[in-house]
Amino acid sequence: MTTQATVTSQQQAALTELPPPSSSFKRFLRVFLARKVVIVGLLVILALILMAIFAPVLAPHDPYAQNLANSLQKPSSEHLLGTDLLGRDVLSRIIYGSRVSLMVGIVVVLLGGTLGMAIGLISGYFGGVIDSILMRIMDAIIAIPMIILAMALGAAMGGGITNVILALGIAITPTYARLMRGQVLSIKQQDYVIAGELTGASNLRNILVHVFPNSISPLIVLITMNLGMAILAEAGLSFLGLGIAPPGAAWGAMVNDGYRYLLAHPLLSVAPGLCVMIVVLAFNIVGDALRDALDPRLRGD
Amino acid sequence: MTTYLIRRLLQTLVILLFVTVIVFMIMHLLPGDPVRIMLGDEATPEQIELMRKELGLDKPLPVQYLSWLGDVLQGDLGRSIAYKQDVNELVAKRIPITFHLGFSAFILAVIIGIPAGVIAAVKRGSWIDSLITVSANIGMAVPTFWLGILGVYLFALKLGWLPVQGYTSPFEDPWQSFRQSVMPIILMSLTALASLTRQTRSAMLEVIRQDYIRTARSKGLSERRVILGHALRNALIPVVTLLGMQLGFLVGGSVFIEQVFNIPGMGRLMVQSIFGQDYVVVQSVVLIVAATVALANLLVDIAYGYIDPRIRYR
Repeated sequence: MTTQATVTSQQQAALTELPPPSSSFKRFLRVFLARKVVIVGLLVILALILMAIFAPVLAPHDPYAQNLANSLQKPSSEHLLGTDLLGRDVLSRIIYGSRVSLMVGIVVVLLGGTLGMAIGLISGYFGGVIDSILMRIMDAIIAIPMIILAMALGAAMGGGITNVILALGIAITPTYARLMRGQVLSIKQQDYVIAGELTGASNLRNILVHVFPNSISPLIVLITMNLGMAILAEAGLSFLGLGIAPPGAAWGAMVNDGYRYLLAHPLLSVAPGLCVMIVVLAFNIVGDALRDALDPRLRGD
Repeated sequence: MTTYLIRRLLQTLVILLFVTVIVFMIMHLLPGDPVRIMLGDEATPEQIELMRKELGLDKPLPVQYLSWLGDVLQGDLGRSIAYKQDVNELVAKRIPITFHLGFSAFILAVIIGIPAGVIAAVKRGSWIDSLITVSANIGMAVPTFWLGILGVYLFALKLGWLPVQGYTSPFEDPWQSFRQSVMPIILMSLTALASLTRQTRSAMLEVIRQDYIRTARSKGLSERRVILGHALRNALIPVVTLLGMQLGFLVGGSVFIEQVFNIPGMGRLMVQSIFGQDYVVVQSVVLIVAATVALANLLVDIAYGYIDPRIRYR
């Protein structure tokens, strides 16, 4: 009788210690927003999104309108950041450039993420030869540095935004494939899946049902980190002239265009590069904070 | 240990084989017709056909792949279309340049990145931790080509301390070589340096929490011995494992830096060959880079097999 009472009081103690379900989100927010810099990062990302959506409203001039009489103007009240060689307003081109960066970042991650998760799922589920072959292909892709792979793919397919996205998407695929495969393998070891298999139940559904909820945290972290990485890589490719073709406004290409007039007009190169850095930094900071809040185990990586 | 060695070696060979397949497949999706580029616009269809036959481009793709692979295995990378030169010669002149810059950058990243990560972890929460962490974050986010341009503007054009562009071998003129390569080396090391700092810091923080560190402290060991003797040694395991990946960052960065500073290395060769649609050179460069990264990973793993017995039995 007494033992039973003790157990109950212990259970009660345990119950009161357990946080109510709603507070887990609060706890997440508390860790996530612990540092002020994370809020700044979130604001930068929000500003980028708004800038991309409302570019036509925000841009003071047409980003493509050439006016050779107005070439290489110093900053003025009319052109806050001056004009480029073709007389185009630099500020307007930067505002429009946010569209390229944001779109490339998002689509690359969606593409690479979906492709990688599908491969990881197939690899982990079927195992055996299929698993070995798929994983060795992923190893081979990883052995080629991202920017080199993207350059080679870009060379094969021609430049342009679609091919940049495809190339970078393929380059990030292995990370997602490995993550997903790991999840599937660990779920396959669970007793209920093995039990289901023994009773003849299809375990693909079972695995799918359990894999996704378990993978959400690492996925969100990976996606945020890769957004910044993709934006940086796109800027690099555009800088080399392998990305967005002229007259499209991409920050990396603008840095390159300005390089020739560096001494007289440093702002032409400095301003768009600064934008790349601020945006990538914001995604990285938010990614770090998400990792700390969602999946502290990843911190050791 | 021998089984571990053999297994890792075989794995690397298989990865490299897959790399050759991927590289070959990518290059044969190339839009431009290499033969037409080689012969120019005035070539007659007969000439083009003849050349195609000569280069073996009329054969089915698997046959082309195998004959290319055979040549590569014998150390023959083929002939450049644009340079009208053997790729081996082209590459032999450029590898030492990228190696000089890349290796120096790698050393710089290691000798600054690891101590910086240790200091940040030991002084966690202090202003010096914030300074190191923020710098590392910026280092990961900054486009190196842009920073290179800023460097040229400030140190070469405005202050006139360093030459604007170019490359000189350290054996030819050490002082000029130093002046020309100091900026490229620092910039090339930046991403790897930042990443190493972050990894070392998180690995150290992870290790400092462990029981054996508490034991070491309670034994009365000096803080210095606890950190350097016990914590760092264990924290370095994950950091060193990722050194191969750092090399990948470095090689990737060399493309931009060589472009900004007009350095005739492998990265610049890659960019020029892409614009020249010189697919033989592009596939060779990708292959060499991938082989370098794969071999670096192999060396790191072998070294660790010796140091950390757990790894051998994975």
